[in-house]
Amino acid sequence: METLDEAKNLWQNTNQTVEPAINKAEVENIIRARIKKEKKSAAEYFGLSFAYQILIYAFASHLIIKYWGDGRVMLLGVAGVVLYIPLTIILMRKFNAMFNLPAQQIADVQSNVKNQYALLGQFFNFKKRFELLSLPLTSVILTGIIFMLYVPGGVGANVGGAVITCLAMLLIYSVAAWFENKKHFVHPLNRLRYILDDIARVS
Amino acid sequence: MQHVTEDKFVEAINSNIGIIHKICNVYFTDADDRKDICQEILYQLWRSYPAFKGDAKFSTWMYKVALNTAITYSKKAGREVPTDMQAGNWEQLAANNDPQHNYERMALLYAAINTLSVTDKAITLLYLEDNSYEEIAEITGITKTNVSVRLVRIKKALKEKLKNII
Repeated sequence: METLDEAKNLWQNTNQTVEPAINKAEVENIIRARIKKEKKSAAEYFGLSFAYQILIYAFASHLIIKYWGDGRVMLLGVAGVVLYIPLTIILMRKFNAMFNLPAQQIADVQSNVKNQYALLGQFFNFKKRFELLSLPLTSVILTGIIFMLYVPGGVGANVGGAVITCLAMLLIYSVAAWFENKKHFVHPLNRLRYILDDIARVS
Repeated sequence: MQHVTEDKFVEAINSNIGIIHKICNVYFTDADDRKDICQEILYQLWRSYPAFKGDAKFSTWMYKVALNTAITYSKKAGREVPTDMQAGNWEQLAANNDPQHNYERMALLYAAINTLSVTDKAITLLYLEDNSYEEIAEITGITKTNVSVRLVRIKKALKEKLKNII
């Protein structure tokens, strides 16, 4: 028995029901709703990142202005700003690209999945490298600022406390980054890898 | 998108609307998921339409967009055949030409296809829709030889699954 050929006959004879046509108003409503949904989900991810970075810039600017002339505080404030500028630029580019995607020639399924995997992987690699540098530095800078401004004697008189604070901050940042990466990058990349492996599988 | 293009777009989609529904039915069992993915496919078609130059068949282009969307959004494949689909026997139903039995056989067929991997589902659907090996290769990005090899394996797997659905 050639089951697939039988199935093909059945498919051709039974599964050709005429689906109801879709009118222009329905298409417009679907597209409008879909654009709104896409903007909302993009805004959720990028909005939080932007809000966090604006807070960093605002805090750093506040410190630089308030402690103008105090070299150490100014240096830490400037370090914080310089550290986050590259990520802000990349995020803005990514944000812009997401909302202004030009219509592209549609590739076959394999090429399309490969492209998606490469794009997401590139951004994730940049993010991982950036986090490797930024998380410890952010922890050190914030610990330095907190102890310098609010703890009598500063870091010099409280080395143990400063180290514990710095490590605690690093741990919190790392855990948050791990969860974020798992949700937005690791799972989607694994899923795309699975599809690519499945496409490439011959026997 | 201009209104002239919109009218042309809607007209072209309506001529091939079955493609969207069949892909949704093959990749998604839940009615809400199907509705969502149908809308997502429509949106992706609308977004890609300005780049459609007409150098390929509209249906081929539509298969590419719709399958790309469905595959990206589908969960991992290889689900078990739902229990409510196990009520019939492919062979017994095949012996009966009653249209009602044909609908039952279609349900069994969908259930069996649902257990295949994401790529095998695409190949099976394109085969059932009477696309040539060249067209299947063009849409999926797999070589023609691989399409042929995979179809042999799919035939075997489906035969086994449909026999076991008793």
